[in-house]
Amino acid sequence: MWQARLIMLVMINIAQLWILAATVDAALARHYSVLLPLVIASGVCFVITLSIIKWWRPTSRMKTSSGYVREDR
Amino acid sequence: MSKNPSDESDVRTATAPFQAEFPYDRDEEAQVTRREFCNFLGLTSAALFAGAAGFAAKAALDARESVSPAAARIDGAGSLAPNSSLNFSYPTERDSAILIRTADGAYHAYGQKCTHLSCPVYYARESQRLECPCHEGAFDAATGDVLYGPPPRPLDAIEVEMRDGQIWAIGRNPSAKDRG
Repeated sequence: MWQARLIMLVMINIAQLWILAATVDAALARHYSVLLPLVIASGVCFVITLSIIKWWRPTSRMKTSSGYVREDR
Repeated sequence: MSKNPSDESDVRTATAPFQAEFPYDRDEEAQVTRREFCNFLGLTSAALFAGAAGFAAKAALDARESVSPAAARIDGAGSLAPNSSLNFSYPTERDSAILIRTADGAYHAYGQKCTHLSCPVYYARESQRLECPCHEGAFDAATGDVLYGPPPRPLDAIEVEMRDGQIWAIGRNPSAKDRG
């Protein structure tokens, strides 16, 4: 379903916004030990976004689960 | 003859009298497809990741390039009475600071910027603590730790030492969330 993809992408973007805010706060507080985990978390979110866009294809009634086009009977 | 479900001619005919009040050309209205929106969200995700990584890299670089500030004498500190304070600048003119002599005679110095939203803190003699007038935050005069209010971390501590009867500021330690 397209809606599921869009909702998940929006939620991941919101999560990345929170991570960016935490990164800025940690940098201003000179709390350097948490910067790398925050950047890794943001990277993981980006990888998940890419995987959703590239590989999660909406199902179609015209195609079977293995990708063949159904015959119109 | 069956009507095409996507035929909007009836709707347009019905809304024609109101078009004059809200004139816009529906055909020229930009249409965003779901695929385009998905791609936009992907680009946004990439931009947010790049922003976080860039900000963290710059902060790490600035930390490596930081230079210890030179020592500076605090004028007027020698005559400071107990339970009173003195404003000065350290390490540069733009870095406001406050020197406190507590009731027991000890000297403590901190950066004057509140860690909440950078309002200048002042020394309250009655309560013997540093207070922020903007959002009612307070800091311990002896340690700079947050006592109450919205400030997220302690004040920047400035190291002071006595040299020939004069008070000298010899270093500035940025505050950190974890202490000890």
